[in-house]
Amino acid sequence: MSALLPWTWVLTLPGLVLTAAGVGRRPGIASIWGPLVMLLAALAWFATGAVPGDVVIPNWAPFLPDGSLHLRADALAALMLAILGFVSFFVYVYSLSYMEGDPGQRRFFCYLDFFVAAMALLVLGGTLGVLLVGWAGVGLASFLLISFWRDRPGTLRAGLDALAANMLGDAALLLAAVIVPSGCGDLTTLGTPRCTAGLGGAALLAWLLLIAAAAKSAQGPLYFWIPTAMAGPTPVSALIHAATMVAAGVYLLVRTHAVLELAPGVMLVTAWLGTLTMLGGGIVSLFQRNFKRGLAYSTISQLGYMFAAAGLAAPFASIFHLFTHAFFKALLFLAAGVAIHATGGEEDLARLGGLRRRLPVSFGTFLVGALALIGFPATSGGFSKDAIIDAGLRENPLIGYLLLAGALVTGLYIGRLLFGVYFGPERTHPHHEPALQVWPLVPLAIMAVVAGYFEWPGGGLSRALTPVLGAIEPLRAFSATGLAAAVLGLAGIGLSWPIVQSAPGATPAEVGTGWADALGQAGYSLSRGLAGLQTGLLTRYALASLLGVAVILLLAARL
Amino acid sequence: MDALLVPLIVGCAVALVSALGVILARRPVHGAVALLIHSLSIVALYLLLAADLIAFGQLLIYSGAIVVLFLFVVALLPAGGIERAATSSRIIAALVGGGALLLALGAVLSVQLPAPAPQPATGVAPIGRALLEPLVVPFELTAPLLLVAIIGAVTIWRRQEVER
Amino acid sequence: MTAEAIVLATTAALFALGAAGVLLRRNPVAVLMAVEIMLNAANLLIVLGGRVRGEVLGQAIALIVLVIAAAEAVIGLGLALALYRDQVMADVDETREVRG
Repeated sequence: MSALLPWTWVLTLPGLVLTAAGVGRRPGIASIWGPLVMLLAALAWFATGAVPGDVVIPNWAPFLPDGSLHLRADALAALMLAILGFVSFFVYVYSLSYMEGDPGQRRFFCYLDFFVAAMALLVLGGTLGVLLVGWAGVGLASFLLISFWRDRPGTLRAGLDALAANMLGDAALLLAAVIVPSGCGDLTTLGTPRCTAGLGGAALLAWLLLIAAAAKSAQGPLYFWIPTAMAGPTPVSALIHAATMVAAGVYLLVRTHAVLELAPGVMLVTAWLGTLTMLGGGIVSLFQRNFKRGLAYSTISQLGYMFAAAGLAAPFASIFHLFTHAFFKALLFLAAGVAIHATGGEEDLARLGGLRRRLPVSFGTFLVGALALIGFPATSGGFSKDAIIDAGLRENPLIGYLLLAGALVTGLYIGRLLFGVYFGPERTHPHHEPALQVWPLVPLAIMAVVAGYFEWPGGGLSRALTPVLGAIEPLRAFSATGLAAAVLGLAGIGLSWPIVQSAPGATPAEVGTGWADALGQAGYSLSRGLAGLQTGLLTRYALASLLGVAVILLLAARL
Repeated sequence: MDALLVPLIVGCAVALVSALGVILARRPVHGAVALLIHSLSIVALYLLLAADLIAFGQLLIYSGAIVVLFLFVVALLPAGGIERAATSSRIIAALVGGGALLLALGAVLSVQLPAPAPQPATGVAPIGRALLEPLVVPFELTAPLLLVAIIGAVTIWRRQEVER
Repeated sequence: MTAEAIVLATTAALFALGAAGVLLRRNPVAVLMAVEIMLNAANLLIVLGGRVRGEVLGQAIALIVLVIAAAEAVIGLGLALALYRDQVMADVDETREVRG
């Protein structure tokens, strides 16, 4: 298995050829097996002892210092392949129904096959050069899929936006591949002193890797391409812009964590970039009128969590969250896609509502995804998000508390989407849920709950990844911070109800009287109450201060 | 020290009794006189503790200036500064506050005091040196402090005059 | 009962008495006199501490405290008199200017 796994990236290429050639009653039927085999191959690798395997073909790209075609299959790559295989298989099945009737359906599956192959190549890359090929490939696939509907206005522009951001990342990564000293292309040795002795040392290398990762994962100022990327079909949003491609940035940081750890300044910037993006993305999501854009900003926010973890020297927490996030975010997008498809393409929150009665399965799975997103205890998201918050509180308490506070924002925005779309009056009448669109949601929902149990109890995932990531902090499940985060998340969901109640598709800015006034009224009465203590009776003040002094003295005597 | 124990106890007793007199005197004039006695008893205690300079400081500055100031002000009070009788809540507050503080101070101060260390050469010079070396900042700041106090007092009175 | 312990107890008692006086009296000047008692008690404690430690610093600090006491008496009495604006009786609790 260890010799075969490095070649799994070719598995979707036969499907691509067959689908292009028109084989199969439905376009795409030939393609869905590629990801399934990929998933099974990764699982088989884990089952047969998880032996790392390398394939090296030297002198393949002579312009790079280490131009060999080096494919490496280790635990991290296998994990990513498993995620890719699992999520893309169900996205493919979903797309069989979602894209039904679309004239470009064959083209769609070909592009998807291309994407999966490129993504697999990316994670199997043993050198920066090979990784870069995969990296550029997924960028191209992203462009093709975002601008898939050529007849709709704005899709081409959105695709070009994505391409622009990707170009920046590609340039940074290429530069990184070039400045590394010759013979040092191997990603596993990238953190050694010999290989960081190139131009600019470890710091420059780390900066370039950070920029490349931030461009791919839409962090900080490079976030702009994801919201417009929602112009693509929803399965694309689910697969590429939620579960896998945008996660490639995180994967890069985790893969090269040794280099990052040699540059503490860059680590700090990474942690803050992630934290601020997490908060910013969450808050902006609250102001979106478009269902998919709301989820897109959620993706940006969750990626922020992963970046923060990478910057806090907790690469396992980062990749663990990537793992769980892939499932619940893809789930959220696909469930959203069911609602959008059933209402004839309606994405405006002001015109969606009350869909839970007619779309019960997608509502149920969306709810599960939402709970995983806020980090509800015992869901996968709970375990992974708690790991990141714990890392934050351990390494940089200020960031830790901000990450904890982010749970409230997360609850707010997902509650707004949940209540806004599935509760309230039905504004656009939906059709029924097609079976092929609905049953892929179930395994994703199951994984959204269960994925955490690969790690707790027993530490299976961390043990598997220890050869790649080094010593890993054990997970503290059901800790106080975890419960606090869950409470905050639930509070956020609760608080989003009044926002939704005020008007269809309302953002917090528009919740006029009611919410803001209630808050103001509460603040006013609280301050009046406290002001009541200021009686103006000097004797009362004197008594209070003298008793206070007595208390302080007594406390001092205790010590 | 044993020979001085009796005067010490007497001095402490006078201090306590006169303090009681200050807080319980119905007319401020009586209170001010009690304050004067209190201050003089403190002088005695300082002398018994072999703190000569501060004893004379207390005598001159405190008894001679501050208490006299109090007496002047009391003389200026209309109707001799009568006040309404204390309500029962005030009495309770006083007992509670005083009691709490007594308890707290008792807890803090119930330390085993070591025997007094051999006294260094008393006299003005060592104290002066202490004022100018470790305590130079507070020492210098007392000057602006007094200036501010004077200006403050004058300002308060000017406001009074303006309002009248 | 050593001499120092007696003085220590006296200090505590005087401070508590002063505090009780602050809470008890309604006349601002009387309140200030109670405050002076607290101040004297603290000063006594400082001098006692200096004696026990054999340092002359205690007296020096006490001297500075004395100056502070003077400044405080000046301003306090000025304020107390100002409370008597055109009235015969001033009550500490009648002045509500420090209200929230």
